[in-house]
Amino acid sequence: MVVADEYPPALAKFLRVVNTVKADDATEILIGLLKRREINSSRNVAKAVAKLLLRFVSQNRHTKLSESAGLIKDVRELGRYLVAAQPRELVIGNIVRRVLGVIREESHESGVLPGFADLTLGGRLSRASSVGDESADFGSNPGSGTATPHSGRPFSRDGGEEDIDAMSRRKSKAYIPPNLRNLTRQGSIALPNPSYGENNLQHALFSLLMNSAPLPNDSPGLKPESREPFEDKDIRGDVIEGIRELMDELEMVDEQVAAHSETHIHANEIVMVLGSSVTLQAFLMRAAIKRKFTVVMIETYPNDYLETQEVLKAPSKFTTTIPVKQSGKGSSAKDELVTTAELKATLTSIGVETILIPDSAVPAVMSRVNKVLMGSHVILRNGSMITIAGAKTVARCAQEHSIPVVVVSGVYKLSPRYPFDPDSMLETGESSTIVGWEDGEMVGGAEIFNPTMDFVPGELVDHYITNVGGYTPQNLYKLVEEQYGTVIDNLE
Amino acid sequence: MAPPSKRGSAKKSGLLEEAPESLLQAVIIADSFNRRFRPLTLEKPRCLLPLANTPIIEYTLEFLALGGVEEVFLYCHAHHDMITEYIKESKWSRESSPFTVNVVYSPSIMSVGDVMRELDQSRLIKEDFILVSGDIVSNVSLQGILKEHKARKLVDKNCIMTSVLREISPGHRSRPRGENALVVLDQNRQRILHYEYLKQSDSESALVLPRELGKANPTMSLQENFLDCCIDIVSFEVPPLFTENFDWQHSRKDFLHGILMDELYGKTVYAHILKSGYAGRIQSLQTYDAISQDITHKWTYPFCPDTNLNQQTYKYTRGHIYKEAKVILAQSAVIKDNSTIGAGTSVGDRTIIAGATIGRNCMIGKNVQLFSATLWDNVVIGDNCSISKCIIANDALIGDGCTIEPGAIISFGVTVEKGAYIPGTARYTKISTAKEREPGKFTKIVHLKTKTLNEYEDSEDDEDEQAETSRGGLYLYDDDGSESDYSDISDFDDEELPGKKKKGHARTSSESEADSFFREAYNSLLGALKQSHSVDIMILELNGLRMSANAEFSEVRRATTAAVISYILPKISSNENTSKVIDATIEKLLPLFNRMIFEVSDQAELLRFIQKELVGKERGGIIMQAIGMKLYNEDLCDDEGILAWWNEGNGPQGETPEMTKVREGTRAFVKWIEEQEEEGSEEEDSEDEEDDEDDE
Repeated sequence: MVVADEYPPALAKFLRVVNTVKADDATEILIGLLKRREINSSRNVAKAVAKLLLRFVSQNRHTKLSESAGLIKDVRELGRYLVAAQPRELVIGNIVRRVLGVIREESHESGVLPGFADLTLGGRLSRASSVGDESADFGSNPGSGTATPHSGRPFSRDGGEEDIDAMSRRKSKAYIPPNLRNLTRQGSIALPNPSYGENNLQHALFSLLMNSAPLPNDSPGLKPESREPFEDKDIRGDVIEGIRELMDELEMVDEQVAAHSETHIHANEIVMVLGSSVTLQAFLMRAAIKRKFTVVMIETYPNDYLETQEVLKAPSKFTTTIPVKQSGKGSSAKDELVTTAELKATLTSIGVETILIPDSAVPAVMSRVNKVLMGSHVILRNGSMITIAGAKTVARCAQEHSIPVVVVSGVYKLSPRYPFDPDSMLETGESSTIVGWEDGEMVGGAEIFNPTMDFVPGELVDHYITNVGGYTPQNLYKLVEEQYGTVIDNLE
Repeated sequence: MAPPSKRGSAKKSGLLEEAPESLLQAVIIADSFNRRFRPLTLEKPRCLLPLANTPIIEYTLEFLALGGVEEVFLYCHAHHDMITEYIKESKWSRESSPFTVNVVYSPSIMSVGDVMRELDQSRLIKEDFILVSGDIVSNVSLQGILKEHKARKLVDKNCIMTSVLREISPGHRSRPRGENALVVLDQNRQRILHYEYLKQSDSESALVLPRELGKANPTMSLQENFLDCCIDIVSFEVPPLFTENFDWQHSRKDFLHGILMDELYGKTVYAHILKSGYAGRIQSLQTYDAISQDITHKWTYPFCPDTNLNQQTYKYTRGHIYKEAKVILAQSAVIKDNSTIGAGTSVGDRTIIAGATIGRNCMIGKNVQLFSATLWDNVVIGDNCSISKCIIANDALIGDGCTIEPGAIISFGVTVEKGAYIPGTARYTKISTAKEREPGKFTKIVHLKTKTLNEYEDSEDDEDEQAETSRGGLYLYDDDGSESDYSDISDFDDEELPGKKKKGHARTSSESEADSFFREAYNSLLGALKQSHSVDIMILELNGLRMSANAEFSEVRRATTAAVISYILPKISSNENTSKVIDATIEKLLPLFNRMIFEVSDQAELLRFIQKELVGKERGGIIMQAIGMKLYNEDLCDDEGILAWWNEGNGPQGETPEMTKVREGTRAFVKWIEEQEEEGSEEEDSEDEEDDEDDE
């Protein structure tokens, strides 16, 4: 299995120093690294951000359950700051939102009723006075928490934190048995789906009951001093644990995605592969253990061709004795850069025929292919995705031939954002990968553009394989909710 | 990438456990030591001028951060207070900065050489370090190059420098005009064997390379197609070399050339030739414009406006258009490719902006045409203007209907009246008549400097308070370099430079090399004597000069004599102390004399030079005798030499009466020598009796 265990030097160094400096400094350091593009792949960015958040949370002054709103606010501020520094790395926002989700979950699990929070107070607060004096608001509108079941989602955006805080404070008075907690948790996840409407209604009513009882005599309870210490427990440890789980997920994602490979790659198939992501690599290697198939690698000149070739020549434990089997028809294009024998070693060694083709040969080869596999940079909520340049052409070509396009990706790349302006999410890289800067005539005389990313609309993708299972582009929104809950923070 | 934040010593010690090697240091020379950006640099140092709306120094610092530098020394001279202030406020002074920035100001630094000497004295440098100027834009990571340099040092202990050179085609826009150098590399294209600064790009004079070069290296590569950004990895041994050679100013023309020419040093210099990546240096207005374009065209990725290095909010849109938040564009305004527009700028109806860089809070009127112009912050441009390829600095006000031709520079706060036509040679500034400054009226033209660029330069000669450096040999680039100084930013399309700008060369090259050597050697020796430098330094100095000018030893003797005589004459007040002064001086300079006298004829020549120098001087004869005696006693001159000189004076070509007068002062001494000689020859029965005995 080819898994990149060793980090690039910049990331390795960051991970090393992050614990020796203050969180604010670590943030600035990371921003510097992101701006200089010293850390630039989605995976590495995700790891760095998760590590930073770990540091940030462990240093934050808000540790108590009652202060979770403050913690959420701080993390969100940090998230906004990071996103603003590198808006095209959408994965930053994903990780921050995931961590925010962890904090919310922890504060919920510690006794707050999330369904109520989102449904009743959140709704009311955000409608009545989204940032106003919450305690006053809280006391004055005891009965207005009867939000309609379906309105839960739209207005839960901003009100989420304040009400959790309020809720948690109130919680110190009102004890809710664990079984009810569970019930409400499920309710909160189910909220947006109309089919659960009945369920929600039930919760709404329940919340009414729950709310109305303690509210009138709640005002003194809002003061932190009057809180019982054993109730206001320290959630920091749990949040950190949650972030660690997220980091573990980042480590294991390739394995998990690869586990699906056998159901997607069948014997004697010809698979066209675009990109060189480690996830893709692991996926193919895993499939190759049991299946015999042919891989057609697209070169992806000029930005990723070296990486693509790297994938093929990456040393693997399987590369010991097996002789080179076949030389591909399109492989001569870049023979001077890497010998064909080397190129073929990794995949061919375990019985995979590998053919490297130039990007221009994609339409010609497409008719012979059973399936197109791609990696991704980020997947967006509506099923579209951003990935390496050239992908849209390939996907469009596949559509023309009715060839399925399958994208393998970790779920951490799934962003809850909607691509209103896809162009702004795309990176334009250095022009010198297209024309050498030393060429004075070209530099002075030609306009050179090097987009490194492509926006692939959801219609062109047939299937997403993530570490939590396969999804069609149309169903991705469900996954978004599973991952981020109903509260989607606006970090942009 | 550097392990960041190594500020506090406590923290440092903690980090050092992980990285036992010492800090990677870099020295930035944040002064250009020339006046190419006048009049803009009258008010702001060059490294703080915005380049694509980000101060130039930011690019350099980012480049060093990318290179993993951990400690930076920033040497500045002009406007040092502004630079200090800027660095203090910037992110580089925070805990999170990947390196500490130490701003060093010294009033005495006037050249790269001065910085190096300063560095030597301060003893801040303990390891090999990176030397750059404060105007580098590069996205090349130095880490690989550093590794290479270190590996090379293990093999070649004499390696003192690795220079980073970028291969680039001759007509490239980012190549500074008029600054070319020939680099001779060995066959592996790694070691620099010789460096020759080419004064003209189309020089007719033959280039002379040292003969030994060809002997030692049967295969060489002579290349001129380099863009030399002066990014060097320099050994800690280099600053002391600059101290020894106290007239070295330029890191290339003086240091690199000198070190390679002189085998005494036995040092080697290597080149790292970049084939990819970006490396540019803002040396002139022309390169400023070119690099600005390179940045918007994404050649310098990731250091482009949309990276927002300096807390900006630029967003990229197709066609290399960068817009910050809160840009107000009229509906009918057209923004064409390669434009950059800062926050708070408003653009009026039907205005066309193409390839222009516009700073923050500018107000651009209606129906304006802005082509490739550079506007800094808070510029106001009236309606119906047509502006192309010029620099308009902060707070300038351009009235309605103005036309600004390519190449013009409008400095800070200048107001240009309605309907003015500004030629490409114009340089407007407010600074020299600051006293009469009035509140800028839209209708009044502040027409302070309407002179052409050359005149402007001359007119500035004597007012140097704000100057980056004083004139006169202290330039990083000498006067000859100034042909590119004011080359218009627009003229990179022209392959040739206007002929008139080349006058400078003709003058310098007509001055005979021997004369220039004599002058330089004389000055440097006299200076060294007066400041009582050690004789070793003088020798090195003189040797360097001799090598670089390819001078003969005869010239060396002439210069030395002249210097010594000028040095001792004022000291000699009476007949009594004459011999004392002379003895002390000559004893001190013994090694120096030893290195320039090889044969009998040399001795005679030396004496003749002394004689000539003493002509018409008070006590000439006495001094002549004292010197002669001392030289004889120290075995610098033997009987033969002195007699040869004596007889030459008697010979047919003769000498002027004044010279004879000097020579006559030594008659007693020579007589004595003659007697000695006779005795000696009788005793030893030497076979090499020479014809000078005939003349006795």
